[in-house]
Amino acid sequence: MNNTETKVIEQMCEVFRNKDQEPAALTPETLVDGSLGLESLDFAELAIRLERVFGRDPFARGTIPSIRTIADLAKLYD
Amino acid sequence: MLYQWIIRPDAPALRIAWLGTDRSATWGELGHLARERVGRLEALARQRVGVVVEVAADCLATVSALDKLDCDVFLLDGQAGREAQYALAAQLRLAALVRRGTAASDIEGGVSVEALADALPGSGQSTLTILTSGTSDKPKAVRHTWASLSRPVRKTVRAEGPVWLLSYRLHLYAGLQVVLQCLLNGGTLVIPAAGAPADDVARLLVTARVEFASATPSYWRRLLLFADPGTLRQASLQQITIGGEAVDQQVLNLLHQQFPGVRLVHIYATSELGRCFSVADGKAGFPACFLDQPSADGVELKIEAGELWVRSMNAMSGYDPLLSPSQVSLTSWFATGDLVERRGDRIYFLGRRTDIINVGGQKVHPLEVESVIRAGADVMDARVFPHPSSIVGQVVACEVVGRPGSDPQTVELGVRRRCLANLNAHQRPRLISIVRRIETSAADKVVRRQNS
Repeated sequence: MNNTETKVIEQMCEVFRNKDQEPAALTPETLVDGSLGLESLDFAELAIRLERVFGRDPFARGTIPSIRTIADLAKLYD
Repeated sequence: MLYQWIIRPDAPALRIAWLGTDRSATWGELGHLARERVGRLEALARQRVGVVVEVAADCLATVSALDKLDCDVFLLDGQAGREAQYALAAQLRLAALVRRGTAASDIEGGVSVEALADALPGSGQSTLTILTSGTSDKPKAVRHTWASLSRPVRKTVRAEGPVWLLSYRLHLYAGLQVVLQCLLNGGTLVIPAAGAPADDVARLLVTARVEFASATPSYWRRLLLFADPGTLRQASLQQITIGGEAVDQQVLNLLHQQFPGVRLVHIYATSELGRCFSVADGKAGFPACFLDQPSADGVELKIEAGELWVRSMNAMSGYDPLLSPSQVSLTSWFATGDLVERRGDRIYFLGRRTDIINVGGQKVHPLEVESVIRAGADVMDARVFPHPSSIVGQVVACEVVGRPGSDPQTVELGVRRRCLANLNAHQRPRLISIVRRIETSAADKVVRRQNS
């Protein structure tokens, strides 16, 4: 797991904790879909948190890039 | 009219009109000064004149002299920079700007008069225009007369004049109301220095024996948070008035705790509509029966599409068209921009229409979220505002001030849990910051717009 993926997972755990939930163990291969347990507002929150960490917002252009796994998400911030 | 009140011959000569932290002046002295200034400012008669208002007694003398000279007086914020003052004066096509002289004393300094080009002629009658920023950045010029401004003033029958603390800015509606309330009852104004620390204000309440104190909820919360409670306990307040922004149950409870036995009154007023109504039952919002008939004052209320509308006899004459091209007829109903909700026999404020947070198309009212946050015993103050989101437009964010001695992590956890339990996913704050104090505007009001 690279540094970016670690940070992404950290922030995802924050989002879960904000909902008073503990996520199942997250890895770069974890699928980012409905089974993850995050709703659209949770993703919005995650994007803001990641922007604070990485100083960038890959969603800013209005198009949501296609993401399958956490590793895909992390690549957006590399 | 103001001129007549200030110089009336029966005004007790020794009554202190003005008690700053280190300066004072009697109504008699102010009257004398006003008379002098009529002569000094005669050349400005019947013109549009801007007065740069500072926290000083002689500003009142200047304004009353200009009243006597039938000027259209415009009150400018002395704390705004000169550039801003000149810009406004140019927009309003004023004939002159009048400032205080440079002497430290309230009474001895003169005035400086700066003539301006391209002025519009005055109306020929004494008017008083308040420049208000409201919730947007563009100021509106709200024109009143001393008759409309003084209409809501309650005159009491007392041997001794009341002692009032003035916290509001003098150039705005609430400040003028307190000045008039005091003047017309032959009382004393006690005015803390601009930006005075809470402890200084608390001490002033005690040493000046303040009986009536008026301020915004934010101002009261700051006082309760930062002033020494021991000092506050020595104050001999009879009545606390709260206004200028939404009054929540928490601030009423906190004030009741700190000042038991003191009458708590919250007033709903706007620069345009004047004083609309007051509530003194210790509860936030107002009784639904206020909607049923006009008040004794001649103010009518109604709710349309969730917004409070008012028709008020204390209203302004109108907007000065140079700043506000749209005219409003004040004999008809006026939308206040305040959203309300009826619950049983009470009407509660949800917040300003312009403060609505739009989370993925769903509207969230900041005050609803704030009341959930404030319900925690370890929360002293809170502010809810939008944070931009590239995915849903806006999400809800908040700043929270914990009670002194509280642990920030515990406070934050409490806030999160309460919000999870009481709010839906759109309403829940996604960002929570524990802060030492909530920033307020120059008028001591919370700003709930998006952080820039």
